[in-house]
Amino acid sequence: MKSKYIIGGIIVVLFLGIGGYSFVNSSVEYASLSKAEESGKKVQVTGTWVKNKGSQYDPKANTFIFHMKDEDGKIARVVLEGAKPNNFDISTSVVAKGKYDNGTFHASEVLTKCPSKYEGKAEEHPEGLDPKSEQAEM
Amino acid sequence: MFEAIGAIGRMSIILGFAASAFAVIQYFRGLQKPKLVPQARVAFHLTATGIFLAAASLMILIVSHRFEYQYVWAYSGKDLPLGLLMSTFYAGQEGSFMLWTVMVAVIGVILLAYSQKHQNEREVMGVYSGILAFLLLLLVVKNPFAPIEADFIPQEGRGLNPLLQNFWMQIHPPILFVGFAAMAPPFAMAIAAMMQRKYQNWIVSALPWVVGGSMVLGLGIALGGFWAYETLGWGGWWGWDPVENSSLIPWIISVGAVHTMLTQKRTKGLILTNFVLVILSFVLVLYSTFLTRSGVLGDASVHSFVDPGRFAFTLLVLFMFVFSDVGLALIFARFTKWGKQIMERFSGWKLVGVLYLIMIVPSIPIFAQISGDVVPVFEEFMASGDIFTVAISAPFLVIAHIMNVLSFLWIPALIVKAGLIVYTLSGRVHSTKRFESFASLSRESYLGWGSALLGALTLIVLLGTSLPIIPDVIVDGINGVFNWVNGMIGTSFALGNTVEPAFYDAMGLPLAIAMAVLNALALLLKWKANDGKDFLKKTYLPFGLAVVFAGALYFFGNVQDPGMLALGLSAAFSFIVNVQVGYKIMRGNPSYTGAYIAHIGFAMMLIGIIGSGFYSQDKPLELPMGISKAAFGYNFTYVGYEPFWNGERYYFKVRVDDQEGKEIETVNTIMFVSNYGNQEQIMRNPGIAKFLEKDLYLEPQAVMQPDPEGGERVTMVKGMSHEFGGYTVTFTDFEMNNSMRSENFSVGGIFTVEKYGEEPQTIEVSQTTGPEGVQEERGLTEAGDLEITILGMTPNRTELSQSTVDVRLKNPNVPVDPENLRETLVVMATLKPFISLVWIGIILMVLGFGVARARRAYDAKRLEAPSDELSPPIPLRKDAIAKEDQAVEEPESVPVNGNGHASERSEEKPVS
Repeated sequence: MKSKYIIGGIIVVLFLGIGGYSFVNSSVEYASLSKAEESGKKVQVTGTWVKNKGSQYDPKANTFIFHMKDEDGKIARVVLEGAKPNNFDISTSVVAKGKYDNGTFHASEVLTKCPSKYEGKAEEHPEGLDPKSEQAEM
Repeated sequence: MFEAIGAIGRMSIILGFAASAFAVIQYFRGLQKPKLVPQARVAFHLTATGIFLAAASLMILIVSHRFEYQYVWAYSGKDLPLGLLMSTFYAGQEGSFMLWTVMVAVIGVILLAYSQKHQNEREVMGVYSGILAFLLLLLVVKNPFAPIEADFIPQEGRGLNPLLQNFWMQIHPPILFVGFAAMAPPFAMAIAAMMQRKYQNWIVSALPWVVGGSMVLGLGIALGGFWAYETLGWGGWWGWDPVENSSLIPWIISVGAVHTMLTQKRTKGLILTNFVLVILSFVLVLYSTFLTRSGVLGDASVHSFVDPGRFAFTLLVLFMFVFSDVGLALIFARFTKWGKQIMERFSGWKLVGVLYLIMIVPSIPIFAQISGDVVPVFEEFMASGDIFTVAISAPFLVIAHIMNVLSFLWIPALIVKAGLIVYTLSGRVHSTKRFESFASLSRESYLGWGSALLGALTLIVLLGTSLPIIPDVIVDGINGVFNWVNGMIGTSFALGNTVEPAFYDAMGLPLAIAMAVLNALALLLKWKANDGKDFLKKTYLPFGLAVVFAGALYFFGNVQDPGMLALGLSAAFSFIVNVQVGYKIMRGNPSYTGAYIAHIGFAMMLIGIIGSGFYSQDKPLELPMGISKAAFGYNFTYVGYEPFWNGERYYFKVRVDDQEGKEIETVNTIMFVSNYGNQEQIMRNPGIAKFLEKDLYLEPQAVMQPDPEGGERVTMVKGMSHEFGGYTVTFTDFEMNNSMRSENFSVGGIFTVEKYGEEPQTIEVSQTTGPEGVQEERGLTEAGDLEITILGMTPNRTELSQSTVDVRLKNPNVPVDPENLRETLVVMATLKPFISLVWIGIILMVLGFGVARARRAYDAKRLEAPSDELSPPIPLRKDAIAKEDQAVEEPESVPVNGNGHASERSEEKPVS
């Protein structure tokens, strides 16, 4: 009966170890563009699409390019590997995951946060109301 | 007339809430005074009626386009076909809460009849009415019948997001909500069982509900995946998105509970485990709702959410806390030493008070911390001036202030609470049939280990999904420790705010491998004792065949990754054992084949995941109309477009040929311009060519119009930039120098052209229109590799800054590609091997659950009492305690007919 516990214990410890390591390793931090530039690590940046700078899809390279402004007001050119995300044009904010390199933010993923995919009242939320305010208080 | 319908809806919700609260009170008072039960029953029926009335009202308002209601205006429009129009019922937050409530009510009506037959109506329906009360309270706050916030009635609604405008919108959410609702009855039954101290029989009566709930929730989740894959074009069917995860979590727990409950049915062991799992599967549905509806995951998910308002948010948190604490308090009272001592010393209201002090009070500061400051909400209510509102709000305002003070204690409270949870869960049931006493080599042991793996998987997904909402204080604390460690040993650990999907893949893989192996071994084992050698012999054949399969994967399937090979091996092992054992069972008693069908489905799904998830290939294709391009051994040709959906959407047709040029299929990829939210945007849906062993998945990216000059045409406003040939071209300003004396009209533009790492250049370009026609003065870069031509301009007189200029960007050194003379469709083509196995696997799993549910319902029927008499009132006093330990050991008498016994036996010896 004891061997059962020992083997079980070893498995649990191993699993926790690997799990913890993998958890920390694959976690990504929220950051501002300046912080992303500084660290050079993969981070997640929240901001808005700078509409008057336009956006374009390059079929040759299969990249989507646009400019985003982060919460500190810094603007960066973002190159996303892939096509324009759905609901990009009506998004109230975008979240880009990727690395800063050579003056460009290379995103592997861009999430669009739109006011109405599941929720309605975009009009009631003044521009710039940060959905994270909820989190900040927690 | 429609004002009346809205008012009826609103009143039905409010009265429904009052009736549900009354039902809770009368059901629980009925424990001592059975004559109150009929009143409670009436109140429950009133609740359900109120909910149905409210739902019907909302549906009528939607279908008749009453845009004077905010909800109707915000999510629907006149252009929607009836099916989609009806589905706008749950397109927003208020309506989806409503849908959930309706499903809980429907199930509740069935549960009422069921609980009467199983002699636990008061306990089960008391708890269940409590759940309805909370849902209705949410609807009181998040009112779907609110009038529009405008002083006129719009003629047209805002419409439904085009992303949701497809077939599966009508199917997936309702089924998912039935699944969510179906987690509630087992919870109520678990609480009832602990109240009644009937720790064995409840398993039999709850099993059909747990199995059925797992079936429906699983189906709902799978349909969501199918929707994402088939029409939304998210590329895959599962992305480990927080919202997907949050519905997966209760499902895994519920599936785990199915296994441990079956074990308890056999062995009488795992009593505490089953209570914990069933309670968790419900509480995690609430947690899931909290995660997805409260806005806390705003930045981490592709499903976007806006926060529901402070008050509704607080209610959601409260909902979660109340029901998890009720479960915890009962486990504490029944299965821990302190709990039992308290039960002996106190009784009645005093007992409730003491339990409250111990179990609930530590939750309050944590709750206060999470829900945040609600004082402004009640201050706003107080300011409304309406006497009734003021009277109700005043005490809550005081409570809110107290909560704000208490919230500072959240860290010590969290420590106390964590300690209490650990203590409670390590509580001992005085039973000799615990997991530790199971023979090492027995089916029950292996089932136990398997469930532990499901628990581990839940933990992984839960932890990963919750990371974004873990408070900064804790993340910073952990990072402080990491910094110290990093300094010591030179590593660079840092905990972020969200995890990558790679985490789930990495952790899920070993768990899936182990699960498949355990599943195979468990089925080869008998209940109770087994002979080791005998058992080993049984594994030879299936394991040998699985090795052959893995070998085939390696040599013919080009699968070289050891992890994938191990997954293939274990999945094949599980598949073969299940076919082998399942076939024998089917010949004996087909009603027991559910488990085998579901496991076969699971194994097939795993093999499908290897192919479609880890060995898919993609390739971007530019398809000029009529010219074939090759990929993956097929030829793809864009053959033209065709309008559908009243001409608003377009099929862009791609013909798929084999290498000899023989047509296999024409795939319709979809693109259309949506004007939703007064913003033009292009929506794209994939087209799929399905084969038995693979899918060719075509995601349309763009259509490019022909241009004999070559290059690229762009429309720009001042300040906008565009990338071309390694340059960033920015349109800096217009240049108008029309000399009045000339007949020529000239449009000019100044462009800044920049290459990364080079000095920016300024290029002036103009277009002159005169009697001789149009003259273009093209601008050229110093290197001569970029030419800018103005093609025209559109002035905007009201807003000059919005005036646009059309330009052509072109590299003059590159000859014009003849393909540019044709309209070109750009698609991303992906080859997804064996994805059909995923779907077949899921269908088999659902089917298996269905068969198992039928069997478990039959088992439960044998427990039914001849009449709907009530169980004797429960003494809340000491005399019950002495009997308690016996209750754990002794199963209540199960009326079994001869038939039942015979069929049970066939399950007992799967392999003879």
